[in-house]
Amino acid sequence: MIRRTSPIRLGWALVAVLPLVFAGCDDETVNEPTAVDPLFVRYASMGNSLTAGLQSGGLNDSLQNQAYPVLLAEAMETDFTVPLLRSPGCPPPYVNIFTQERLGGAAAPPCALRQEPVPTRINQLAIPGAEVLELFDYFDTDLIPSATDAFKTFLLGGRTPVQAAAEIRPTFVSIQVGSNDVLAAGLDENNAGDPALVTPPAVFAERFDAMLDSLDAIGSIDGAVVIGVQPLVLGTVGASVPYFSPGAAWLQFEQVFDGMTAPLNALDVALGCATVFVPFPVGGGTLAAARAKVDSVQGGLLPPQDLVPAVLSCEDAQVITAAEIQNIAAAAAQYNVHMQQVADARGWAYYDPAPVFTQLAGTAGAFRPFPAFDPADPQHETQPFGFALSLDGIHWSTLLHEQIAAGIANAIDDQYGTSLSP
Amino acid sequence: MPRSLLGLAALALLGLAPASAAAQGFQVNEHGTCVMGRAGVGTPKPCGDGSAIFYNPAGIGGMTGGTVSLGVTGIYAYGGFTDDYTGETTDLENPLVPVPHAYFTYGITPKLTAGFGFFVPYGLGTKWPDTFEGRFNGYDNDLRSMYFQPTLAFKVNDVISVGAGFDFVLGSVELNQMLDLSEQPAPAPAPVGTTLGEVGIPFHTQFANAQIKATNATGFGGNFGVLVTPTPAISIGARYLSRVKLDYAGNAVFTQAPTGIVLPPANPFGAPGGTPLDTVIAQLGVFETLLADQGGDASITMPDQISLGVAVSPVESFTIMAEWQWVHWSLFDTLTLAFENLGEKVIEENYDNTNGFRFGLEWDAVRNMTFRGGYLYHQGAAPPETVTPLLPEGTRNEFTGGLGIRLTDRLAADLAYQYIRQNKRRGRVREPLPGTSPTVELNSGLYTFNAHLFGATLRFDF
Repeated sequence: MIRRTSPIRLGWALVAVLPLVFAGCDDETVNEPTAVDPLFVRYASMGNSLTAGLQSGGLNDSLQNQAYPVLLAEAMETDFTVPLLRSPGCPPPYVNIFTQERLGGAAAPPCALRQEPVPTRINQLAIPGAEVLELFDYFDTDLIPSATDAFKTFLLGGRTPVQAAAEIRPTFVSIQVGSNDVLAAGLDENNAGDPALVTPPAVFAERFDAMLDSLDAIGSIDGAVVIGVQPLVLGTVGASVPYFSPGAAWLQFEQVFDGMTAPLNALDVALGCATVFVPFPVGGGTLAAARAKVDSVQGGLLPPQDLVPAVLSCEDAQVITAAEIQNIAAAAAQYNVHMQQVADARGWAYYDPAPVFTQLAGTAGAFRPFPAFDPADPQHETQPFGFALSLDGIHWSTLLHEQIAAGIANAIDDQYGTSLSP
Repeated sequence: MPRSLLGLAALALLGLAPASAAAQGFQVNEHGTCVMGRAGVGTPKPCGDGSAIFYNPAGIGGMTGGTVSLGVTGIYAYGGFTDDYTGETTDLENPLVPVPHAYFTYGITPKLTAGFGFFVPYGLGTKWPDTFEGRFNGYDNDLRSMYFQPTLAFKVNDVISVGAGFDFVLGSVELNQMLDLSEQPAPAPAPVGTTLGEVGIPFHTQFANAQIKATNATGFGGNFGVLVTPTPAISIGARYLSRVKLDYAGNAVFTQAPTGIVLPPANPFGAPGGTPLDTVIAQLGVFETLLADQGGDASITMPDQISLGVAVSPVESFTIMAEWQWVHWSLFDTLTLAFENLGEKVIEENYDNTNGFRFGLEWDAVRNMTFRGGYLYHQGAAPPETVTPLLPEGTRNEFTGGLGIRLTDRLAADLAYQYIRQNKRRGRVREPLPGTSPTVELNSGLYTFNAHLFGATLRFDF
């Protein structure tokens, strides 16, 4: 009996052992994303044209890759996909703001298309022109149509940044909003500084909170950094957006210009300009007209006695008045107060860009109070608004992006105990 | 009896017998519950239920009287795909799939036996949610190849038997997949050659469901076997199942699928802000032209199989069996779909030939009861770059157990259970870019696949 059952036991034992012999359980694994800290394994950047890397009135792959979120992602050592545009851009950036020449010249298309292959996911979710509402809603009746609306489809395929964020389930987000909620007023060509175009702080707060509610619904976010609106008035220097030049600077320039073209008097800046900010197209247009008159006289086409000065009148509709700039600055400050309170309450990082701007305001050549209109000026073509700004006088230069990225990294490190800063 | 077989075949044709991959590639090897219980070892010592018609046609040689068996294997496959980046897992939604088998044998003379078998050795069924990110490869796929095999076997002497069967194969296929809007050409005024992805449409934006359906593809092949029994305690078997090429002719039906996108102002389509993208797509007329219902065809070759095995009975009541199986999966290198309007689409599969090693035991422990068990190991056919939602297969370890019960002198029943554990395998959820070949760099997540199989066969001797 024992002899009869032994082979049977042996057989069953053999079958039991065979799996160990073949040992086929060599499972492959999920390749989880990595980062310098688990907090950053999926990073999404939400914001506006500053966030997107727009410079010199244009956007292309080179500029996109110089934006501070890309620099932050590099510090985080996390995958970060940008919806890259082909060179020369969409639109191509200016190479000379005064001649309005853009990269690629006249032959370049107004909008080069997106690069192929289309990325399978997108981390850079910034939309040029975005107000706080547009981070989660494109169709509110309060929104005013803008040329930058095209970026909503072109960069995110019609999805809002919050909708696009849900697809990548970010663990960390950076949020930069508010600039367009105030700057839309400054850029209005019909009534620069129009208070009606400034998002009231209470409304901003309500929309910001609603946007965060939408983000919360994604359910993946472990941390964030909120970036405050930059200070718009920089002491006696002028604006952090030199696109708006102090009228006082124009009054000084009038004397310089008249001195250069004496005895002609081709430019007349009204005394009322002393307290306002003059948008670049308004001041630049007046100056161009004055120069044309000088050229006509010097070319013998216009008798000197018939010369009528080009006048920068600084009428309310043309410029941003002191009251309007105060309204804008106050609104931005209140946005910042709310955003910081919310960030603090959530245990998120908050980055106030004011110290960087204040520091740069004290650095020669960072923000020019008056554009380098003179072609003889060495910075006329390359840094007409100062080295901290690109050629459009609004958007940050690459150097400023680097400084902002470093500042944000510090803020994140302080809040989360990480080590993004070098 | 023929009426029963025809009835069963009719049920299969009516859709009650879709198959699902339970071996390698889209191969199914469970065509008899007795053999299933011993890990599929059927070549060296076929069971007496007629399933030798599939496992080794020589095995019915020398059978006396007649046998009819009917059975089914229920396959419950489960698994999913975990995305590398988001960590989210999407589960397979495969239903319990019944795979039938039926056999009839009759000993014409003491040496010559005739038989007829019906089985489904190749088939697949994968069903994913229609929101799955891999739905652009295929989310609801069904392929069946039903074999009808008249067979003759001849017992040359007490040592050698040979057998051969002629296979008439009836195939059908249904593939459902979403089409990606980002790959489609952008309408004017975009330059010719511009894709919608280049104007901002996100990757994997669905806009149409493509259903490709073909039935009644026919093919022919053969199944040949030899069985050598040098002593009553040792038997050796070999078997060759030939390849069968099936030419499918069917229809492709395209229906609009919601993109979920509402166009913002200043969109490249010139539509007012708030216009659903679906409305714009519908107005383009693609569903009346390029994506109108159209004919299509494809060819798939069911690969050859070779099996060699040996069975040893150290004692009369106990048998140890081992079998090697080779499947010619390299024949499945490309899948070409040709459409009337859309032209040709070639999908690279690049499958590798596979080897399977099966080990089984059978023990007549008590009167009228037989216990079975086994283990098998199979290589994966799909190379690392073509593990897709269509068939996310890989190396497998499988464990089986079975029970045979003699109910009466004429009636017997077999029950079996099989657990399939497939190694977790990296794969992709997207197609390569047009004009490029698939690479492992496209793999973006991990597929898991396991299955429970339940078999039952009723056998009647007369």
